[in-house]
Amino acid sequence: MIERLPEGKSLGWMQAPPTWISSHTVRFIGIVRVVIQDGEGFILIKKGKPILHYFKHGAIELKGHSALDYFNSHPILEFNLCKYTTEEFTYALKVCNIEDQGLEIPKEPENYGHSISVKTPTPSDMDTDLPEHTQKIGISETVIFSQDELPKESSPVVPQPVVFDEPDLKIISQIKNLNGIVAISVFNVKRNVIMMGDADSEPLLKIARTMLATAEKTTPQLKCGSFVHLTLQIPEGNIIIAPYRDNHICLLTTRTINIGHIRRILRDLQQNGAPP
Amino acid sequence: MRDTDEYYTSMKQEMPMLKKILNKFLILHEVRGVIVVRENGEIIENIKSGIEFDDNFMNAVSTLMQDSKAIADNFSNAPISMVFMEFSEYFLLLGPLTEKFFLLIIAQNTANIGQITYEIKKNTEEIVSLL
Repeated sequence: MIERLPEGKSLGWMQAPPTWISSHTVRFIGIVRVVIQDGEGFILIKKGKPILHYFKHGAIELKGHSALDYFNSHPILEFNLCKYTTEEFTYALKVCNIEDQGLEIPKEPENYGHSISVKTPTPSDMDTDLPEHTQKIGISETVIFSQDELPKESSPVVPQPVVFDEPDLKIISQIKNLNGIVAISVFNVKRNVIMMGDADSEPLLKIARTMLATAEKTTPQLKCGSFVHLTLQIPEGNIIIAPYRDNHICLLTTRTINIGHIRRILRDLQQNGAPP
Repeated sequence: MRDTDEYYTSMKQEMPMLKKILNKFLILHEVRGVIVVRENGEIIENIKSGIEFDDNFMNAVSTLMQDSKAIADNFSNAPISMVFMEFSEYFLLLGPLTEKFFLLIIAQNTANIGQITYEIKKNTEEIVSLL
């Protein structure tokens, strides 16, 4: 998709927090081209209103909220502001399958690799400037950690390293968007691979690892078969860990979600690789 | 026939009250075992059908209870409402009765969890009164 978009007139490359983009593009019509590691993406903007967020790394594509979450997970973005003429902007909307008003829900791209839909921005979401928009949808945190390095807030200009060849971000995003899911983390004994949602990643990882240790200790003694999941119900909600591909998944949910629903999500995830 | 009825009637009368309550869980579809257990894994009362609880099993239950309480304490300083551990063949439902006593249900995966949790809510008070 990116290569089919008009080039536009480059106003220059820069590095700034994601919030800078929304606060400095009130009169801007064009595209913000974002580069993170070996991946690239863009934000299509019409006078401060983000029309579409998109990011691609290898075969993985993020669109809408998941791309926005991903951009916002980086303290600093490296990007190029490219101004569009009216004709170029109209053409860009066509390429992105967006109606001319620029406020229609974009269609899913054809080759996303999985038959799963990720929630895309709604017209009402895009009616406002980005800061309001992020408040309105209760924007969640997405953190992707590299093998050896955690993101450092203090790093001013270096885009954060990511590992993209692990769990599918789209599936994780989709689970995060299910009713009752507060946070979701994919982790292993060494690290947090992905974390999305309204929770601090480090404390959640610590709890998830403790639960995993308990599960690993008790499973052979209980002789009830292979481990499927461990769910702790506390007054605030549920904490769940379960095997997920080569890693484990940790879910934090509200009390409104019942055990039957959790089992269905986990069963579908473990059997089909996607939630119901 | 009358003899048999009398036999079961006398068995019911002789069955300790706590066991009678636990039997309400055991008669639920695919429930295999019901145990009132102390935090250290000591069995207070149990009733089972087609399953055995050896020392390893009870040690694991004790570990599960203690670890779960510690995790809940660390997470939000909150009490555990329920621990649910599922395996490929069975699942374990562990609900606190008092500070030191828990009710453990072991059932096959096809059992109705909603029905079991409903029975737990309905009978907890009575079980606690007998401890």
